[in-house]
Amino acid sequence: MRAIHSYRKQQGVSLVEIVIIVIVLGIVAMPFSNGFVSVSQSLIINEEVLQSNAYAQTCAEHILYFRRSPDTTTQGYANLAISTSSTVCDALPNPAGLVINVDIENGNASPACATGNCKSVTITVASNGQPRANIEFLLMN
Amino acid sequence: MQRLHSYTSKQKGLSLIELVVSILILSIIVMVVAQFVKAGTESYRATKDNISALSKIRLIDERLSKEVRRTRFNAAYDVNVFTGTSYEFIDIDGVTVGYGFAGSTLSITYDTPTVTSELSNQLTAFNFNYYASDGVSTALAVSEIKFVEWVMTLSDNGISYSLTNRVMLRGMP
Repeated sequence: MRAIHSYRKQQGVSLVEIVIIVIVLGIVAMPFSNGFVSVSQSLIINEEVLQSNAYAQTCAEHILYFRRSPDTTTQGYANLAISTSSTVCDALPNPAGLVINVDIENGNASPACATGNCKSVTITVASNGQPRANIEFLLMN
Repeated sequence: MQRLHSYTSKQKGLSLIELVVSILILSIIVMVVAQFVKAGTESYRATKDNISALSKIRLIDERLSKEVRRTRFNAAYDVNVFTGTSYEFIDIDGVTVGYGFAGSTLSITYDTPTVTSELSNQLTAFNFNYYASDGVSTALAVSEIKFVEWVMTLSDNGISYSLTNRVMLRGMP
């Protein structure tokens, strides 16, 4: 008699239980969907990094010419002003959405700067406040 | 006897409604899983195509950067041709190097030894620009050229990348 009663209690899964299972499955699946979103974002970042590097290189080439220029009246080493936010590359075409900053500081004496008469240049390109490219080099007098 | 009767009459299996509900629930679960699988496949394909396009455009950019800046300087730079689609120069080893864009193909030519090869045939746009010493004014004569810039768009399997880059010509004393 007890066995019969036991069988009657086996009623399957209730609607509430199914809803709870679906919610739990949804929570478990969320990290996967976030993964797909981050894949899409990384593809966008790839393009930004590519363009940022090209922009930083363009600026670096411009500064290298500025340093070597025979026109020492307006260009040349002496006219490369020390500044944390140099305007030396401001005239160059600016790719949409990218912001460049050129930091020029006095370089300290080091194996790379034996005379101690150097300028340290750091070019940073950012997109939406996130750094995407960075170039650093020393210019010797 | 009562126990036997109970087993035979109460064990009915699944009703049609239960079966239909089960199939519906399973279908919903399968659809959700299928969406994930589909999104995963698409992400993989998109990533693969993007990396392929990026690699190709980087290769062209690095080749141009490396070679164009080696233009030889003799009073002025040894540039034979400088148009929007062609740039021909003599490099610091005395080799004449020419880049030319036509259709969707960017080709490179050397005179010693004589070699012509394709850098890419997937460019939808390519253009050379030449700048004077301020980096802004267009160089109108060979003697004014200090920077060479290229602007290109490469398309590969529907993925498009655009890139603008330039080099300073290094040979100047």
